[in-house]
Amino acid sequence: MGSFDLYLVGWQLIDPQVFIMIFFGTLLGIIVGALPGLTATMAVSIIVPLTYKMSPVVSILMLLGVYCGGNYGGSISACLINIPGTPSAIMTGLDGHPLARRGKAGLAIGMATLASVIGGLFSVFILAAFSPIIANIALKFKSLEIFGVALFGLSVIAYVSPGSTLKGIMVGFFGLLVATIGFDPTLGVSRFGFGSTNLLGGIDFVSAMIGLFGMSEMLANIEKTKKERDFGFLQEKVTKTWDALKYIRKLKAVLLRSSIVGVIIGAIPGAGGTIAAITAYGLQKKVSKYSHLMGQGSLEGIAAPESSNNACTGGAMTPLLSLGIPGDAVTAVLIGAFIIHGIVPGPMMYTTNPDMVSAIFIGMLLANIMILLIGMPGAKYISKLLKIPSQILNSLIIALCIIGTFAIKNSLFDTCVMLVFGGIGYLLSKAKVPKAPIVLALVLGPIMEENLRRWASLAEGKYWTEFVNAVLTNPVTLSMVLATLAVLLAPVIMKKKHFSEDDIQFTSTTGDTDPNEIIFAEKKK
Amino acid sequence: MKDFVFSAIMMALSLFIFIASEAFAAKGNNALSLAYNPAFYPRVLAFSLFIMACVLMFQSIRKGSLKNVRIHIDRQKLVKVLKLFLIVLLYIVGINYAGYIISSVICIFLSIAIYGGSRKQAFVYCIIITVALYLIFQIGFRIPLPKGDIFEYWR
Repeated sequence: MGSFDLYLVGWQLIDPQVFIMIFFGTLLGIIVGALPGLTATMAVSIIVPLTYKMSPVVSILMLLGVYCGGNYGGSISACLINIPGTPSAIMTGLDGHPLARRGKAGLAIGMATLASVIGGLFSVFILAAFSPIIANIALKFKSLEIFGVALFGLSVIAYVSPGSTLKGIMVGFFGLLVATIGFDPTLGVSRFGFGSTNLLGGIDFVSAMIGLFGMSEMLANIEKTKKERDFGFLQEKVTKTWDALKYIRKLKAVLLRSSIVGVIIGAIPGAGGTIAAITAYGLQKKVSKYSHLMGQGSLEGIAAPESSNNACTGGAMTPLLSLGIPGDAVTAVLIGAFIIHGIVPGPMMYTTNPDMVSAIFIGMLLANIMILLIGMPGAKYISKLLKIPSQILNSLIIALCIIGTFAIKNSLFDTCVMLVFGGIGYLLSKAKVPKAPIVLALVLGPIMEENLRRWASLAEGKYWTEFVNAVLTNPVTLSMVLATLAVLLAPVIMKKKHFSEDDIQFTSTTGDTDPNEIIFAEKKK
Repeated sequence: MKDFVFSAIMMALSLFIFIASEAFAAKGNNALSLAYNPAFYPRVLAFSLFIMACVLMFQSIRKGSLKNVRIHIDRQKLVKVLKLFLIVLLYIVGINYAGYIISSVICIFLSIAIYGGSRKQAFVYCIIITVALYLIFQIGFRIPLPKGDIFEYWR
């Protein structure tokens, strides 16, 4: 297959059904993303069970629609009520909300939509251009190299997760231990089965996911008062979203810079949209001539984080498709969806399933176009969903978590696993321990162990001393191990200030400044 | 205090892994083999986890988190969480025996009520949600939902 064919072969799979499902996926993602407390990860987790009976292409592209839409949807509530629908919209509210308070909610959401689409499309082009190159290199990797890459991926997510790195690593190891339940990958011996046939196949990944990201949030939500959960105080009307188009040319440098930041950060396993948005906003504040106006309703302050967090989607898909390593929690959940449909993401996909890879590029492209088509005219209707009473929404999600998990294998045991992980997730949130490393460990754990053990049984070196020797003589694995050590020891050496979402305070500017004074910083040139 | 408890739980877990892995551990020459001892890899993980838990515990003691131990538990919130947990458990068990429709109606009703909804709201929405999910799963996606063992038995 010629290199350019990779970008065309997928069109054969895009039939009207696929098109409609991408549309529904994106719409669903935007709605879920717009509702505070519901994240894109949760949306993808609870929708995975719905896709069992669909064809792989339809289900994966629909989930990608949810992913892209979910990342964008958070900006709607961030602009309107100053509460980010998803963590990645955390910076959008800083400027989006003050602008909305001045009666320019349509302009704020319009700008967020256009920036998201531009960032998303940019990231798809980068994904399509670079992932085949990385995959080509990764195809030459053998067991020990794959082990090294998986180890590095796991260490990075522990480092960048909110809160303490040590706790992130510990919870990652907990996930790795959970992943060892079931049959041993080389000898077929049952481990930690305790006589239960249900545990022979290990812990179902999707059930654990739904528990960690869906049920745990519902358990946490019940602690809040009704007033804290409901968002019925929405007052701003969303009109004239297309007005934002006028400012795009002036913001092209901001959009390009932030999109590049988003793609790079998205490609780092575990970093994700939140960090990308914060970095892009911070960078914009540093380089902008009008940085003093940011935080008061500047369009630069909306464009930078929004283009950056949506550019993360393509960035996060790059390691997933080319190396089989998820770039963030959502892509970790997506791996579960791939596996359910018999597709193993990684470099082999480019040779065994090029049509699927191509369809993913096209699907993400379409999902971003759908964001534009849904977001610009539909934001005013989606914003009305913020008035749904939380008790209805939460109860619906609980039912979805249970029915969705049950539908996987009609297994009562899996549903119990979901509930147990829901409880674990709730307790971890209480202890301020990140949950994402568990997800990544559940995905990467079996890859790590299988490759390590395969190397050990094929090579002469079956003892740990020989393993150390092999690592020291293998340049790829050695560099990965050194990079892992650097990541893990960095906080000790550099006394890293841990990133915490709690650290970010919403400087809720309530529109005290003159409404006509600051709308768009560059306009004053 | 939270760190202390978290590290203590992780320590206990790693010790448990060590003991439980004895059931499938290889003996003799293969005891230290990466390839032929199924317990070797989980034990390496458990050992590492234990060391990290010790570090975290030491850090939390050094910070003086044990000097002013004040465990503040909001009983009202805790009761709410436990109630919801029990409702979900009831739903899970119920779905197998009473089937999707009955258990969904009951548990969604209880769930809406516990989240602070009125009885009227709970009654209306438990039916709407149950029917909507039935249409999505059973009719839309053709994913069979359980009818319940009780009804199977009567038949």
